[in-house]
Amino acid sequence: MHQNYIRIESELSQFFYFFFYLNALNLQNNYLSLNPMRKVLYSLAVLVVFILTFNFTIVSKHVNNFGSLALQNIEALSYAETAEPVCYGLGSIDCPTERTKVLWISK
Amino acid sequence: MRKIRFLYITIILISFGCSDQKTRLIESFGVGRSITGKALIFHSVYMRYPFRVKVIDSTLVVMDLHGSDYYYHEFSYPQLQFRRSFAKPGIGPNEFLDAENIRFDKQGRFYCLDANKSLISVFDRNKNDTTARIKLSDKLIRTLDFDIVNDSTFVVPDYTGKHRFNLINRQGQITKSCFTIPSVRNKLANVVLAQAWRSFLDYNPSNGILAMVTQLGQVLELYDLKKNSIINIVYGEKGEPEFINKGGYASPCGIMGYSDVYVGTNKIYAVFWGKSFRDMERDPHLKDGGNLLQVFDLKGKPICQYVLDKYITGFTVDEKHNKLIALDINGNDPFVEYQL
Repeated sequence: MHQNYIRIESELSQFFYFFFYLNALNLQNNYLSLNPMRKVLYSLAVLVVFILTFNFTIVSKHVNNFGSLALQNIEALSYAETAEPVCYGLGSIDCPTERTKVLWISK
Repeated sequence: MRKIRFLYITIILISFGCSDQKTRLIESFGVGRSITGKALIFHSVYMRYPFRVKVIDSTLVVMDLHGSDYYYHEFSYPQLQFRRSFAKPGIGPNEFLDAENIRFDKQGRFYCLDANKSLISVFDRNKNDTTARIKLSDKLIRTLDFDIVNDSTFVVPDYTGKHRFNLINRQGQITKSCFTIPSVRNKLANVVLAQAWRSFLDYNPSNGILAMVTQLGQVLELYDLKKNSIINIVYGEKGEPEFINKGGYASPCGIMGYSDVYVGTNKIYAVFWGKSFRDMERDPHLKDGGNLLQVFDLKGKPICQYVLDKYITGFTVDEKHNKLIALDINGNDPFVEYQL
Protein backbone atom coordinates (compact mmCIF):
# COMPACT_ATOMS: atom_id res chain seq x y z
CA MET A 1 0.00 0.00 0.00
CA HIS A 2 1.13 3.48 -0.79
CA GLN A 3 1.19 4.85 2.76
CA ASN A 4 2.75 1.71 4.15
CA TYR A 5 5.40 1.98 1.47
CA ILE A 6 6.53 5.32 2.87
CA ARG A 7 6.47 3.97 6.40
CA ILE A 8 8.63 1.01 5.50
CA GLU A 9 11.15 3.33 3.91
CA SER A 10 11.34 5.51 6.98
CA GLU A 11 11.81 2.47 9.19
CA LEU A 12 14.50 1.22 6.86
CA SER A 13 16.34 4.51 7.11
CA GLN A 14 16.15 4.32 10.91
CA PHE A 15 17.62 0.86 10.80
CA PHE A 16 20.52 2.10 8.72
CA TYR A 17 21.10 4.97 11.12
CA PHE A 18 21.50 2.53 13.93
CA PHE A 19 23.79 0.36 11.86
CA PHE A 20 26.01 3.24 10.81
CA TYR A 21 26.03 4.69 14.28
CA LEU A 22 27.56 1.44 15.48
CA ASN A 23 30.05 1.62 12.64
CA ALA A 24 30.91 5.14 13.65
CA LEU A 25 31.72 3.90 17.17
CA ASN A 26 34.17 1.42 15.70
CA LEU A 27 35.83 4.23 13.82
CA GLN A 28 36.33 6.14 17.07
CA ASN A 29 40.05 5.42 17.26
CA ASN A 30 40.62 6.71 13.75
CA TYR A 31 38.55 9.76 14.52
CA LEU A 32 40.59 10.56 17.64
CA SER A 33 43.81 10.50 15.65
CA LEU A 34 42.65 13.32 13.36
CA ASN A 35 43.83 16.90 13.87
CA PRO A 36 41.32 19.24 15.63
CA MET A 37 40.37 21.17 12.46
CA ARG A 38 39.47 17.98 10.58
CA LYS A 39 37.60 16.69 13.60
CA VAL A 40 35.36 19.75 13.53
CA LEU A 41 34.86 19.49 9.78
CA TYR A 42 33.98 15.78 9.88
CA SER A 43 31.66 16.26 12.83
CA LEU A 44 29.85 19.06 11.06
CA ALA A 45 29.49 17.04 7.87
CA VAL A 46 28.06 14.05 9.75
CA LEU A 47 25.70 16.33 11.65
CA VAL A 48 24.38 17.90 8.44
CA VAL A 49 23.78 14.50 6.87
CA PHE A 50 21.95 13.30 9.97
CA ILE A 51 19.76 16.39 10.12
CA LEU A 52 18.86 16.14 6.44
CA THR A 53 17.93 12.48 6.55
CA PHE A 54 16.19 12.59 9.94
CA ASN A 55 14.04 15.40 8.64
CA PHE A 56 12.70 13.05 5.96
CA THR A 57 11.92 10.38 8.55
CA ILE A 58 10.03 12.74 10.79
CA VAL A 59 7.97 14.16 7.93
CA SER A 60 7.02 10.69 6.72
CA LYS A 61 6.02 9.56 10.18
CA HIS A 62 4.07 12.71 10.80
CA VAL A 63 1.92 12.10 7.72
CA ASN A 64 1.28 8.46 8.42
CA ASN A 65 0.64 8.66 12.13
CA PHE A 66 -2.16 11.15 11.71
CA GLY A 67 -4.82 10.04 14.18
CA SER A 68 -8.11 8.79 12.84
CA LEU A 69 -9.98 11.25 15.07
CA ALA A 70 -7.98 14.13 13.62
CA LEU A 71 -8.76 12.89 10.11
CA GLN A 72 -12.46 12.65 10.92
CA ASN A 73 -12.42 16.18 12.31
CA ILE A 74 -10.78 17.54 9.19
CA GLU A 75 -13.27 15.65 7.06
CA ALA A 76 -16.18 17.09 9.03
CA LEU A 77 -14.79 20.61 8.71
CA SER A 78 -14.20 20.18 5.00
CA TYR A 79 -17.86 19.33 4.36
CA ALA A 80 -19.43 22.24 2.63
CA GLU A 81 -22.55 23.73 4.11
CA THR A 82 -24.13 24.07 0.69
CA ALA A 83 -26.51 21.58 -0.87
CA GLU A 84 -25.56 18.61 -3.02
CA PRO A 85 -24.00 19.25 -6.43
CA VAL A 86 -26.27 19.59 -9.45
CA CYS A 87 -25.55 17.67 -12.66
CA TYR A 88 -26.17 18.95 -16.19
CA GLY A 89 -26.15 17.67 -19.75
CA LEU A 90 -25.20 14.45 -21.43
CA GLY A 91 -21.62 13.34 -20.95
CA SER A 92 -19.27 10.84 -19.38
CA ILE A 93 -18.81 12.17 -15.83
CA ASP A 94 -20.48 10.01 -13.23
CA CYS A 95 -23.03 12.17 -11.43
CA PRO A 96 -22.70 11.24 -7.74
CA THR A 97 -26.29 12.10 -6.88
CA GLU A 98 -28.26 10.84 -9.88
CA ARG A 99 -26.27 7.80 -11.01
CA THR A 100 -26.20 9.00 -14.60
CA LYS A 101 -23.42 10.20 -16.88
CA VAL A 102 -23.36 13.95 -17.32
CA LEU A 103 -21.40 16.68 -19.02
CA TRP A 104 -20.87 18.75 -15.98
CA ILE A 105 -21.34 19.01 -12.22
CA SER A 106 -21.95 22.38 -10.57
CA LYS A 107 -19.35 23.71 -8.14
CA MET B 1 41.46 5.63 3.48
CA ARG B 2 39.47 7.30 6.25
CA LYS B 3 38.27 9.94 3.81
CA ILE B 4 37.01 7.30 1.40
CA ARG B 5 35.25 5.43 4.18
CA PHE B 6 33.63 8.60 5.43
CA LEU B 7 32.51 9.50 1.91
CA TYR B 8 31.10 6.01 1.41
CA ILE B 9 29.07 6.17 4.62
CA THR B 10 27.81 9.66 3.79
CA ILE B 11 26.64 8.66 0.30
CA ILE B 12 24.83 5.58 1.62
CA LEU B 13 23.15 7.58 4.38
CA ILE B 14 21.94 10.20 1.93
CA SER B 15 20.73 7.64 -0.59
CA PHE B 16 18.67 5.76 2.01
CA GLY B 17 17.42 8.84 3.80
CA CYS B 18 16.24 10.61 0.69
CA SER B 19 14.93 7.69 -1.38
CA ASP B 20 11.74 8.73 -3.15
CA GLN B 21 8.46 7.00 -3.84
CA LYS B 22 7.86 5.51 -7.27
CA THR B 23 6.28 8.70 -8.51
CA ARG B 24 7.36 11.36 -10.89
CA LEU B 25 6.15 14.23 -12.95
CA ILE B 26 5.46 13.49 -16.56
CA GLU B 27 8.18 14.62 -18.91
CA SER B 28 7.14 16.84 -21.76
CA PHE B 29 5.95 15.11 -24.89
CA GLY B 30 7.34 17.98 -26.92
CA VAL B 31 5.59 19.00 -30.11
CA GLY B 32 2.84 16.54 -30.96
CA ARG B 33 2.61 14.87 -34.32
CA SER B 34 -0.58 15.83 -36.17
CA ILE B 35 -2.44 13.02 -37.87
CA THR B 36 -5.60 12.98 -39.92
CA GLY B 37 -8.27 10.36 -39.51
CA LYS B 38 -10.43 8.60 -42.03
CA ALA B 39 -14.13 8.37 -41.22
CA LEU B 40 -15.48 4.86 -41.64
CA ILE B 41 -18.91 5.11 -43.19
CA PHE B 42 -21.80 3.01 -41.97
CA HIS B 43 -25.51 3.82 -41.81
CA SER B 44 -27.17 1.05 -39.91
CA VAL B 45 -27.25 2.14 -36.27
CA TYR B 46 -27.92 5.41 -34.51
CA MET B 47 -25.77 6.00 -31.45
CA ARG B 48 -26.16 8.87 -29.02
CA TYR B 49 -22.84 8.73 -27.17
CA PRO B 50 -20.47 5.98 -28.40
CA PHE B 51 -17.91 5.67 -25.63
CA ARG B 52 -16.14 2.32 -25.85
CA VAL B 53 -14.98 0.26 -28.80
CA LYS B 54 -13.37 -3.19 -28.63
CA VAL B 55 -12.14 -5.51 -31.33
CA ILE B 56 -11.60 -9.25 -31.12
CA ASP B 57 -10.74 -11.25 -34.24
CA SER B 58 -13.32 -10.25 -36.84
CA THR B 59 -15.75 -8.69 -34.36
CA LEU B 60 -16.06 -5.07 -33.30
CA VAL B 61 -18.39 -4.01 -30.48
CA VAL B 62 -19.32 -0.43 -29.65
CA MET B 63 -20.83 0.67 -26.37
CA ASP B 64 -23.29 3.55 -26.45
CA LEU B 65 -23.10 5.22 -23.03
CA HIS B 66 -26.53 6.79 -23.47
CA GLY B 67 -28.10 4.14 -25.67
CA SER B 68 -31.82 4.61 -26.13
CA ASP B 69 -32.69 1.19 -27.63
CA TYR B 70 -29.59 -0.86 -26.88
CA TYR B 71 -26.31 -0.23 -25.15
CA TYR B 72 -24.08 -2.44 -27.34
CA HIS B 73 -23.82 -2.91 -31.09
CA GLU B 74 -21.85 -5.63 -32.82
CA PHE B 75 -20.25 -5.28 -36.26
CA SER B 76 -17.96 -7.32 -38.44
CA TYR B 77 -14.40 -6.04 -38.59
CA PRO B 78 -12.96 -4.49 -40.70
CA GLN B 79 -16.01 -4.40 -43.02
CA LEU B 80 -18.24 -2.78 -40.34
CA GLN B 81 -21.31 -4.71 -41.38
CA PHE B 82 -23.93 -4.51 -38.66
CA ARG B 83 -24.67 -7.84 -36.95
CA ARG B 84 -26.83 -7.21 -33.92
CA SER B 85 -27.56 -5.01 -30.91
CA PHE B 86 -27.90 -6.26 -27.35
CA ALA B 87 -28.38 -5.12 -23.72
CA LYS B 88 -31.68 -3.28 -23.76
CA PRO B 89 -32.12 -0.37 -21.33
CA GLY B 90 -34.87 -0.87 -18.77
CA ILE B 91 -35.72 -1.98 -15.28
CA GLY B 92 -36.61 -5.60 -16.13
CA PRO B 93 -34.52 -8.51 -14.88
CA ASN B 94 -32.81 -9.00 -18.25
CA GLU B 95 -32.49 -5.32 -18.98
CA PHE B 96 -29.74 -2.84 -18.16
CA LEU B 97 -29.85 0.27 -16.01
CA ASP B 98 -26.60 1.52 -17.51
CA ALA B 99 -23.47 0.43 -19.33
CA GLU B 100 -19.90 1.10 -18.28
CA ASN B 101 -17.62 -1.12 -20.33
CA ILE B 102 -17.34 -4.34 -22.30
CA ARG B 103 -14.62 -6.99 -22.28
CA PHE B 104 -13.96 -10.26 -24.10
CA ASP B 105 -12.58 -13.50 -22.73
CA LYS B 106 -10.50 -16.07 -24.60
CA GLN B 107 -13.63 -17.89 -25.72
CA GLY B 108 -14.95 -14.68 -27.25
CA ARG B 109 -17.76 -14.17 -24.73
CA PHE B 110 -18.78 -10.60 -23.97
CA TYR B 111 -18.76 -9.28 -20.39
CA CYS B 112 -20.83 -6.14 -19.80
CA LEU B 113 -20.78 -4.09 -16.62
CA ASP B 114 -23.92 -2.42 -15.29
CA ALA B 115 -22.82 -0.20 -12.39
CA ASN B 116 -26.33 0.71 -11.29
CA LYS B 117 -27.21 -2.95 -10.87
CA SER B 118 -23.71 -3.92 -9.61
CA LEU B 119 -23.75 -6.69 -12.16
CA ILE B 120 -21.48 -8.14 -14.82
CA SER B 121 -23.54 -9.91 -17.49
CA VAL B 122 -22.02 -12.50 -19.79
CA PHE B 123 -23.19 -12.90 -23.39
CA ASP B 124 -22.25 -15.80 -25.61
CA ARG B 125 -21.55 -15.02 -29.20
CA ASN B 126 -24.71 -15.03 -31.31
CA LYS B 127 -27.01 -15.04 -28.28
CA ASN B 128 -28.91 -11.94 -27.29
CA ASP B 129 -29.71 -13.05 -23.75
CA THR B 130 -27.25 -13.24 -20.92
CA THR B 131 -25.84 -16.69 -20.22
CA ALA B 132 -24.40 -15.85 -16.81
CA ARG B 133 -24.50 -13.06 -14.28
CA ILE B 134 -21.94 -12.03 -11.72
CA LYS B 135 -23.39 -10.01 -8.87
CA LEU B 136 -20.70 -7.82 -7.38
CA SER B 137 -20.00 -7.93 -3.65
CA ASP B 138 -21.97 -5.60 -1.38
CA LYS B 139 -18.63 -4.38 -0.07
CA LEU B 140 -18.00 -2.63 -3.39
CA ILE B 141 -19.54 0.79 -3.90
CA ARG B 142 -20.35 1.75 -7.46
CA THR B 143 -17.87 -0.12 -9.62
CA LEU B 144 -17.45 1.93 -12.80
CA ASP B 145 -14.95 -0.13 -14.78
CA PHE B 146 -13.49 -3.61 -14.86
CA ASP B 147 -11.23 -5.94 -16.79
CA ILE B 148 -10.59 -9.66 -16.96
CA VAL B 149 -7.36 -10.75 -15.27
CA ASN B 150 -7.67 -14.49 -15.90
CA ASP B 151 -10.31 -17.22 -16.08
CA SER B 152 -11.25 -16.76 -12.44
CA THR B 153 -10.48 -13.15 -11.61
CA PHE B 154 -11.61 -9.63 -12.51
CA VAL B 155 -10.03 -6.33 -11.51
CA VAL B 156 -12.44 -3.60 -10.38
CA PRO B 157 -12.09 -0.14 -8.87
CA ASP B 158 -14.83 1.24 -6.66
CA TYR B 159 -15.95 4.24 -4.61
CA THR B 160 -15.11 3.05 -1.09
CA GLY B 161 -11.77 4.84 -1.41
CA LYS B 162 -10.07 2.36 0.88
CA HIS B 163 -8.10 0.69 -1.89
CA ARG B 164 -7.11 1.59 -5.41
CA PHE B 165 -8.63 -1.53 -6.91
CA ASN B 166 -9.86 -4.98 -5.93
CA LEU B 167 -9.53 -8.41 -7.41
CA ILE B 168 -12.81 -10.33 -7.40
CA ASN B 169 -13.66 -13.91 -8.26
CA ARG B 170 -16.37 -15.32 -10.54
CA GLN B 171 -18.86 -15.08 -7.68
CA GLY B 172 -18.22 -11.34 -7.42
CA GLN B 173 -16.52 -11.64 -4.03
CA ILE B 174 -13.38 -9.71 -3.20
CA THR B 175 -10.31 -11.92 -3.09
CA LYS B 176 -7.73 -9.18 -2.69
CA SER B 177 -7.65 -5.42 -2.21
CA CYS B 178 -4.64 -3.59 -3.57
CA PHE B 179 -2.85 -0.31 -2.89
CA THR B 180 -4.43 3.07 -2.08
CA ILE B 181 -5.38 6.14 -4.10
CA PRO B 182 -2.02 7.80 -4.84
CA SER B 183 -3.12 11.31 -3.95
CA VAL B 184 -0.33 13.55 -2.71
CA ARG B 185 -2.67 16.31 -1.54
CA ASN B 186 -5.44 14.28 0.11
CA LYS B 187 -4.65 11.60 2.63
CA LEU B 188 -8.27 10.81 3.48
CA ALA B 189 -9.27 7.49 1.98
CA ASN B 190 -12.97 8.11 1.53
CA VAL B 191 -15.81 8.06 -0.99
CA VAL B 192 -15.33 11.71 -1.98
CA LEU B 193 -11.70 11.15 -2.90
CA ALA B 194 -12.61 7.99 -4.81
CA GLN B 195 -15.25 9.89 -6.77
CA ALA B 196 -12.72 12.55 -7.74
CA TRP B 197 -10.18 9.87 -8.65
CA ARG B 198 -12.63 7.96 -10.85
CA SER B 199 -10.36 6.21 -13.35
CA PHE B 200 -10.56 4.13 -16.48
CA LEU B 201 -8.47 1.01 -16.62
CA ASP B 202 -7.05 -1.58 -18.96
CA TYR B 203 -5.17 -4.79 -18.28
CA ASN B 204 -2.97 -6.79 -20.61
CA PRO B 205 -2.62 -10.40 -19.43
CA SER B 206 0.42 -11.02 -21.64
CA ASN B 207 2.63 -8.57 -19.74
CA GLY B 208 0.61 -8.36 -16.51
CA ILE B 209 0.33 -4.58 -16.64
CA LEU B 210 -2.70 -2.73 -15.36
CA ALA B 211 -2.97 0.92 -16.39
CA MET B 212 -5.34 3.40 -14.79
CA VAL B 213 -5.98 6.96 -15.94
CA THR B 214 -7.92 9.63 -14.10
CA GLN B 215 -10.95 11.24 -15.74
CA LEU B 216 -10.64 14.47 -13.76
CA GLY B 217 -6.88 14.90 -13.67
CA GLN B 218 -3.69 13.95 -15.47
CA VAL B 219 -2.43 10.89 -13.64
CA LEU B 220 -1.36 7.60 -15.18
CA GLU B 221 -0.91 4.69 -12.79
CA LEU B 222 0.87 1.50 -13.77
CA TYR B 223 0.69 -1.67 -11.70
CA ASP B 224 2.21 -5.09 -12.23
CA LEU B 225 -0.51 -7.54 -11.20
CA LYS B 226 1.78 -10.55 -11.59
CA LYS B 227 4.29 -9.14 -9.10
CA ASN B 228 1.67 -7.18 -7.12
CA SER B 229 3.74 -4.02 -7.33
CA ILE B 230 3.52 -0.39 -8.41
CA ILE B 231 5.47 0.21 -11.60
CA ASN B 232 5.00 3.95 -11.74
CA ILE B 233 2.61 6.75 -10.84
CA VAL B 234 3.00 9.48 -13.43
CA TYR B 235 1.59 12.89 -12.56
CA GLY B 236 1.10 15.08 -15.58
CA GLU B 237 1.40 18.82 -15.93
CA LYS B 238 -2.26 19.29 -14.93
CA GLY B 239 -1.72 17.21 -11.82
CA GLU B 240 -4.09 15.11 -9.79
CA PRO B 241 -7.88 15.59 -9.84
CA GLU B 242 -9.09 18.85 -8.32
CA PHE B 243 -12.40 18.88 -6.53
CA ILE B 244 -14.40 20.47 -3.79
CA ASN B 245 -16.35 18.52 -1.24
CA LYS B 246 -19.95 19.56 -1.69
CA GLY B 247 -22.36 17.95 0.73
CA GLY B 248 -20.27 14.80 0.85
CA TYR B 249 -19.86 14.52 -2.91
CA ALA B 250 -16.89 15.39 -5.09
CA SER B 251 -17.60 18.31 -7.36
CA PRO B 252 -14.83 18.57 -9.98
CA CYS B 253 -13.22 21.97 -10.54
CA GLY B 254 -10.05 21.19 -12.45
CA ILE B 255 -9.94 19.59 -15.85
CA MET B 256 -11.37 16.80 -17.93
CA GLY B 257 -8.41 14.46 -18.15
CA TYR B 258 -8.27 11.04 -19.74
CA SER B 259 -11.24 9.13 -21.11
CA ASP B 260 -9.74 5.83 -22.26
CA VAL B 261 -6.57 3.79 -21.97
CA TYR B 262 -5.16 0.79 -23.81
CA VAL B 263 -2.27 -1.41 -22.68
CA GLY B 264 -0.53 -2.87 -25.70
CA THR B 265 2.33 -5.34 -25.95
CA ASN B 266 5.04 -2.68 -25.73
CA LYS B 267 3.21 0.61 -25.39
CA ILE B 268 0.41 2.25 -23.44
CA TYR B 269 -2.00 4.58 -25.20
CA ALA B 270 -4.31 7.11 -23.52
CA VAL B 271 -6.60 9.78 -24.90
CA PHE B 272 -6.33 13.10 -23.07
CA TRP B 273 -8.89 15.95 -23.16
CA GLY B 274 -7.08 18.62 -21.14
CA LYS B 275 -10.04 21.02 -21.04
CA SER B 276 -10.68 22.97 -17.89
CA PHE B 277 -14.20 23.17 -16.48
CA ARG B 278 -13.80 26.95 -16.54
CA ASP B 279 -13.30 26.85 -20.33
CA MET B 280 -16.25 24.50 -20.70
CA GLU B 281 -18.36 26.93 -18.68
CA ARG B 282 -17.32 29.84 -20.92
CA ASP B 283 -17.87 27.98 -24.16
CA PRO B 284 -20.61 25.34 -23.95
CA HIS B 285 -20.05 24.47 -27.63
CA LEU B 286 -16.62 22.97 -27.02
CA LYS B 287 -16.37 19.58 -28.68
CA ASP B 288 -16.80 16.53 -26.50
CA GLY B 289 -13.72 14.36 -26.41
CA GLY B 290 -9.97 14.70 -26.54
CA ASN B 291 -7.66 15.18 -29.48
CA LEU B 292 -4.41 14.18 -27.80
CA LEU B 293 -3.31 10.58 -27.97
CA GLN B 294 -0.45 10.09 -25.53
CA VAL B 295 1.85 7.12 -25.91
CA PHE B 296 3.99 5.78 -23.05
CA ASP B 297 6.34 2.86 -22.71
CA LEU B 298 5.53 0.11 -20.22
CA LYS B 299 7.38 1.98 -17.45
CA GLY B 300 5.31 5.14 -17.97
CA LYS B 301 7.94 7.10 -19.85
CA PRO B 302 6.37 9.31 -22.54
CA ILE B 303 7.21 8.24 -26.08
CA CYS B 304 5.17 10.57 -28.25
CA GLN B 305 1.93 12.48 -28.52
CA TYR B 306 -0.37 12.51 -31.53
CA VAL B 307 -2.61 15.50 -32.19
CA LEU B 308 -5.76 14.12 -33.79
CA ASP B 309 -7.90 16.13 -36.19
CA LYS B 310 -11.03 14.92 -34.38
CA TYR B 311 -12.07 14.80 -30.74
CA ILE B 312 -12.53 11.24 -29.58
CA THR B 313 -14.02 9.58 -26.51
CA GLY B 314 -12.93 5.95 -26.70
CA PHE B 315 -10.57 3.95 -28.87
CA THR B 316 -8.84 0.67 -29.43
CA VAL B 317 -5.52 -0.07 -31.08
CA ASP B 318 -4.98 -2.57 -33.87
CA GLU B 319 -1.35 -3.29 -33.04
CA LYS B 320 -0.90 -5.65 -35.96
CA HIS B 321 -1.68 -2.93 -38.49
CA ASN B 322 -0.60 -0.05 -36.24
CA LYS B 323 -4.02 1.57 -36.46
CA LEU B 324 -6.16 3.49 -34.04
CA ILE B 325 -9.91 2.92 -34.22
CA ALA B 326 -11.57 5.81 -32.42
CA LEU B 327 -15.03 7.11 -31.60
CA ASP B 328 -16.08 10.64 -32.46
CA ILE B 329 -19.41 11.75 -31.01
CA ASN B 330 -19.35 15.21 -32.57
CA GLY B 331 -20.14 14.25 -36.14
CA ASN B 332 -22.39 11.88 -38.05
CA ASP B 333 -19.71 9.26 -38.55
CA PRO B 334 -18.70 7.87 -35.17
CA PHE B 335 -15.90 5.58 -36.40
CA VAL B 336 -12.58 7.20 -37.25
CA GLU B 337 -9.45 5.35 -38.22
CA TYR B 338 -5.94 6.70 -37.81
CA GLN B 339 -2.71 5.25 -39.12
CA LEU B 340 -0.14 5.62 -36.33
